[in-house]
Amino acid sequence: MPRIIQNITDAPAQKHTLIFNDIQVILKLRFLSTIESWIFDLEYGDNTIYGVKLSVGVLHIASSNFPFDFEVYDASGNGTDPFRLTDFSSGRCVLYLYDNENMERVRGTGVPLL
Amino acid sequence: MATQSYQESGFEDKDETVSVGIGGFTALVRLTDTYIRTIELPTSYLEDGTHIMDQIILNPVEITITGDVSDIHIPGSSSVDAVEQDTQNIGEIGQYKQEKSPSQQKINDDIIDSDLDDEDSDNQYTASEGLQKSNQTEFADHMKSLQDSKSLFSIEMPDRTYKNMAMASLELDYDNEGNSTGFTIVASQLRFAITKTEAIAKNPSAGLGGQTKSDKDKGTQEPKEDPGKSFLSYLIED
Repeated sequence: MPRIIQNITDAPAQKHTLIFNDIQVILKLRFLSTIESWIFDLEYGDNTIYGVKLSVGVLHIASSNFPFDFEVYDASGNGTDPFRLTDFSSGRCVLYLYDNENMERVRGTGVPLL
Repeated sequence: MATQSYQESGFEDKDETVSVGIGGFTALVRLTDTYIRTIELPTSYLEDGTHIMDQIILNPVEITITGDVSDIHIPGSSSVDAVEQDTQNIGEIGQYKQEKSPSQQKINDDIIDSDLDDEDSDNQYTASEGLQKSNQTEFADHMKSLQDSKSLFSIEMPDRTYKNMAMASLELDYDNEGNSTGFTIVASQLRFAITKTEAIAKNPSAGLGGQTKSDKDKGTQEPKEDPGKSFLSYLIED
């Protein structure tokens, strides 16, 4: 089962610290009003990924070889990516976290943990 | 940050009291002064609605001066020039003065016979006395140093004085017959743009919607497993 990331508000820059299965991740979400998109930065151990755009129905950081990933679910059924400041706070979009056990299923094998 | 740039003025009005000449050298005769200003114009067809100012390119001012330098320089007199221009009859001689009397003629002859035209006399003053370097040499040295030092100087033209001129070409013709130096100087103007800056505004755009603020810390959470379905949950199902 993927995990839900809660407490995403309508602040255009927010920082979430996620802890699961002895893994700690710092997730920074940002909303860019000029291009109507949400992007995120990720810190896992010494590695960082910057500026990944959130889209519906895809895993976002597969090539990074991190033991986890993210997916956005669109509750309205339209399939539109998160494009409004209130998309997460209203519940239209939900951010899911796939932890290391889930990703082992997806990949077929595990990746090193930091 | 907003920036503006503009050109500093390339010329100034002539100073009535001080003559600038060519880079400060005035003991020369200018035979011709030529002012050339070219513009690059587009030859191809321009698109409808094009901003004309962007298509017309001004080239820098170019001044060509030809002239002569010799060892004796006598500056022209404006009053003599004025009289020479006036060729009209200003009067008619009605009566001549009487011939000199013998005693008056003798005083005349005494002056002429005096030592003044004796070449060995100390009363003589020749053109080269009192000068360290001849005027021609001074002129040549002055112009060559303006070129060698790559310095910018001012040139006085009949209408105004042009600043920031660099000597593009210097031609000196040493005339051994007439003991003078003919010259042709071509000078081009260097143009400078001055950049101005302004401080950034505190709230540059209302539409940013708080994006320039720092992160809001939402604290730590342990994401819980969700019983509902996400789009990709089929990837991890048995």
